[in-house]
Amino acid sequence: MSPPVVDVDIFIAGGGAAGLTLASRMASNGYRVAVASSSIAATAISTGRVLFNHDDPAVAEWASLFLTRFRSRESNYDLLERPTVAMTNIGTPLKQSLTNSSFDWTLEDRDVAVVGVIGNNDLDSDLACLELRRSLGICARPLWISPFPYPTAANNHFVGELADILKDNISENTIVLPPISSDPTYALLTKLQNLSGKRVVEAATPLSLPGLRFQLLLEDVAEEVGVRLLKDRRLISIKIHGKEANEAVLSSGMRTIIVKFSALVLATGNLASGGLAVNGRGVIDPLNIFRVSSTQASGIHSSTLRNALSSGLDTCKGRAITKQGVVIRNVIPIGSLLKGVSYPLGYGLGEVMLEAWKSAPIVEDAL
Amino acid sequence: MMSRIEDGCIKCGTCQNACPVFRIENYPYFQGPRRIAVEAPRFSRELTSLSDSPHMCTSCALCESVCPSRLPITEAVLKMRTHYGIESEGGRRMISNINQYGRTIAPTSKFTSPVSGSTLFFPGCIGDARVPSAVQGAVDMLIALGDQVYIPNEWYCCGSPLEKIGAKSEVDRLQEMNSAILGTAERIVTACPGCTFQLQKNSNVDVLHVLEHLFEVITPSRLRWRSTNPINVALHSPCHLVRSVGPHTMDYAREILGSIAGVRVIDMDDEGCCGGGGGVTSTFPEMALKMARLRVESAIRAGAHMILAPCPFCVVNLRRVGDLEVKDLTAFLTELSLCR
Ligand SMILES: Cc1cc2nc3c(=O)[nH]c(=O)nc-3n(C[C@H](O)[C@H](O)[C@H](O)COP(=O)(O)OP(=O)(O)OC[C@H]3O[C@@H](n4cnc5c(N)ncnc54)[C@H](O)[C@@H]3O)c2cc1C
Repeated sequence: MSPPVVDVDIFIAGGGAAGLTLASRMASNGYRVAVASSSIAATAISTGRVLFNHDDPAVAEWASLFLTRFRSRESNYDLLERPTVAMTNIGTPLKQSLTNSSFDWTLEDRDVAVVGVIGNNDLDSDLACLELRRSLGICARPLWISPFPYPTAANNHFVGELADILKDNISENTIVLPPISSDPTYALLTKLQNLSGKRVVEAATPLSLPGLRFQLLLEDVAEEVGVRLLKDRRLISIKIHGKEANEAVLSSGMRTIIVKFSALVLATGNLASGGLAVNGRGVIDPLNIFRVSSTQASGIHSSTLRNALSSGLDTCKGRAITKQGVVIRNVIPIGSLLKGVSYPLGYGLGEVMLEAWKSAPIVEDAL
Repeated sequence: MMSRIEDGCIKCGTCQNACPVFRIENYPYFQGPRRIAVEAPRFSRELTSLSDSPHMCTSCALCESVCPSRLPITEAVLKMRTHYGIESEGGRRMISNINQYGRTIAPTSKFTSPVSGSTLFFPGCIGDARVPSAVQGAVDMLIALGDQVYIPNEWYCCGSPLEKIGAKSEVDRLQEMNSAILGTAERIVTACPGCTFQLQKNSNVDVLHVLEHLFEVITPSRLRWRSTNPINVALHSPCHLVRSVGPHTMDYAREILGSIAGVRVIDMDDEGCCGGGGGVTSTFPEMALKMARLRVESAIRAGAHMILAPCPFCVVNLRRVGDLEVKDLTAFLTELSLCR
């Protein structure tokens, strides 16, 4: 039996912020686009808080496609005029320009109680308050409450119970909680605010629900504008003839799928999402046909981490280059797979999305 | 020397967040995939503190599918089971049935089917004993579609449930027992994801889940369905189908259901494991029921009149809840097929 074939104009390997941004732009321009992804995207384990370079005209273009659609899903993301400073779950500052400002713990908040939930590792209130005082000289009160049931649409009553606890036991005006819902409308926090009369906010938290929320929103928008999402399907090989790639093989569980395309976009991310791998001597492309190198970067003390994070695919005018030095005219790497992008940790989403957005003409040129 | 799994873990905790068992059974009773697969073996003195944790895993492989380092977590958890040996009552019962019948459950059904042909339909222990209508219906439908389908007179457990409880020698013995029987088929089709995966691992011919057979071999244009009264169905995604056989199978299921007039597939608000895999239905029946209840409640909230699952294990476990009709997808399709 021969494997099934997917036939598209543009095939994008990697469904994180970069892949989904470009896919959505191309699909809304009328191209047939499929995106394959496997395992988790760095986007989904980030804080989901985005810092844009506001001088870049692509911000407005990006927003006209995405932000309007976020809003129609009642997920109240705001694009701020000027970046604000949010606080993370370990009490450090993080600059951001796209987020839900009504529910963010920011530097502006005074009279704050940081409430950890026993057994929930997302917010260590003692640690956050300690770091806050040490690095910024700000005082907040650490508190702990016992665990409550995992919130689902079914056990609504727990919201009331939690609101009562917050109202009756905490004098501070602003209450910081760990992320407790994957719902991008923040309905749970709205309810908690209304019932408790407090400002209830979330710390910027990586490795938790906020990144997942952002990822799911991007996927939702991509599907809405006609992108075909092939989730849990991994790119395992690329067929190249001369200076052109024309076929890719994906694994789907124990089977394989063939993808035929005019342009191939590689958006498989950096180390965290499996786009690159470490082989003991350095960073390599796991498909092992394209040239990887690193750029000079600063800001991280560990040289291993610095090397790993600043490594990425080499390009020539936006096209990938094989290990033998051949420029492949229709293979376009984008996002944190490129060298020097999304560095250091904690930033990257903004740059990755804008650069992916702007690579549309290169892709069109390759078609 | 550390294994790939111990060495490759970056401690992000994504697996712990994704684990459906960890959502309902908290530490220290259940300790989550990272503790079981990475930390316990790395610091071997902690192995003893795992208590029942390795046996509570439903082998849904959600942990593995979200792991940024793509570590084979499920395999590592199962290895921990082997390390502890088979202690559970359910596990002992399964092995005693294997010794007696070569099946995990005593054979019950007598199917009406040819006993030779080219496409071997493998009923599987659960299909045979718990959802025989799916097996019989599938055989009837495929014969009507012109397929040379047969069920051999004798067949034995594929070995998948035994692998899940760490009974390695039984797995090898069953493979040996089945090899002559299965070796003569041109293609093997089954309605069970576990059988599909397990048999394909050791077979040179295609072993297809019935959804793959319908979609890729028969092809949708040859399938004819009668329309039904309007019905909302919640399509449950069986872990062993989506993550072992492959996610394309659920695309096929949606596409086939979408072509039947009257059937509306509705989305559940929370995708997850039914709790029926990895042997936990017999080892921790109450936990398995609790997980099934979450799925059924999610389906009811979404407005479903029925849950369809293309896996006999899921069907059996979801049915235990009792609040909503649960049908094997294969049985549902064969009832609506105009080719019978
Ligand atoms: C813990 C953490 C916290 C962070 N916090 C922030 C933050 O607060 N703010 C910020 O701006 N940035 C943050 N970042 C950085 C940011 O997440 C990344 O810069 C950004 O997500 C990169 O996007 P991407 O699309 O390039 O890659 P990714 O989002 O990693 O997407 C890569 C995609 O490729 C897929 N993939 C990989 N290999 C294959 C293959 N062979 N076949 C098919 N698919 C494949 C993956 O599954 C994934 O879908 C953080 C990163 C981490 C790890």
